[in-house]
Amino acid sequence: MRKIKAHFFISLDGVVESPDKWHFPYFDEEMGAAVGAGFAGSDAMLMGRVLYEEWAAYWPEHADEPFGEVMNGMKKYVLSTTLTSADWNNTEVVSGDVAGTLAEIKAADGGDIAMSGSGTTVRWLLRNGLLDELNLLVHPVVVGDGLARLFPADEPAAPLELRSSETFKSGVLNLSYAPA
Amino acid sequence: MAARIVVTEFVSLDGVMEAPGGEEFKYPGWSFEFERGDDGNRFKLDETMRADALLIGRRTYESFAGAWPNREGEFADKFNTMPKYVVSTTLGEPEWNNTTVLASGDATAQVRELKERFDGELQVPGSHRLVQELIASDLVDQINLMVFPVILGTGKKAFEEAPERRNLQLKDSKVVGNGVLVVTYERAA
Repeated sequence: MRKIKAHFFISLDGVVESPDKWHFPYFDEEMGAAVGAGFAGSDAMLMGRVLYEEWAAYWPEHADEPFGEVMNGMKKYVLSTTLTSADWNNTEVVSGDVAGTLAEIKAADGGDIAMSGSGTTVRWLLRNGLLDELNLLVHPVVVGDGLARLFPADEPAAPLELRSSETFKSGVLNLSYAPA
Repeated sequence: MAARIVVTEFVSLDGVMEAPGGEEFKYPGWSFEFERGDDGNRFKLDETMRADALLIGRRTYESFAGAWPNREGEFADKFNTMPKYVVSTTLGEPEWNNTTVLASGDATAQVRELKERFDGELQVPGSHRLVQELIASDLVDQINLMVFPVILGTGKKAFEEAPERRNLQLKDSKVVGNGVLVVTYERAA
């Protein structure tokens, strides 16, 4: 069974929005290795509509950057109720019976399905029992600033299991949780 | 010699710190559902014994004052005997032993003054509103968190909207019991 693995850069106060504003001081070799390892077993990406639009506007024009070829070439699934088609190479829109379609995708042959960001989609997957891993790189900073958090108020409770934890020299925690 | 202010909280993975040990809440006493193990108990006991006084808000005071005087043991003896400073404009004569009310209405000024004259570790457990004020006024020297493996999805958070960014330094981290994370942060140099 293919797993859906979510990955986030997150601050101590739970902010996941605009990591470009707070993440870079903590990027180092350990962080790079963890990000690489997180995607190593995956051959597809899953994202929400907002992230899709951001990336679909960026990556085709930046194919020569690191990750550019991978991003453009890899299979991409976009969860959306509003998109009808997706122009970005190798992208499939998942709509209608999203849970059913995702269950089929997970049951099909292939590597794992990675996510990077897409908080709204991750919360939906968690609520619907479709998320397999929640991987958090917790940065030692309280960001505040009104930026969006991974878990805003009024979510249903969800018990988790801590599968692994690692502490980087930078003070970043690399935590891997699975729904309990 | 200024005091060291140490905030200590039980939090869920989504940062909720409300009512971990009881009181009125959607999930009262939620932290008790997790096994924190001997290591976790040891951490809490060592931490409590390091405290020279408690600095707390009115609601945490009422919760503690309603519970600890009736209990026995190492934790209870320590809580009942050490000095307690309560930031509140509404609390009258406090009944709990060794309690002082800081009542001027300007919590930050009160705490700043206490921090100047007190020598030792002032621990701040719970105390949701007070913690927000202490973080906003940069009076926090250390934050100890016991992070339980659950998303609660509702409740007061240890870090509400902060007006300013706070860079921290991770001093210590370990896993205790069944996937419970214990982390200690200090103000970044």
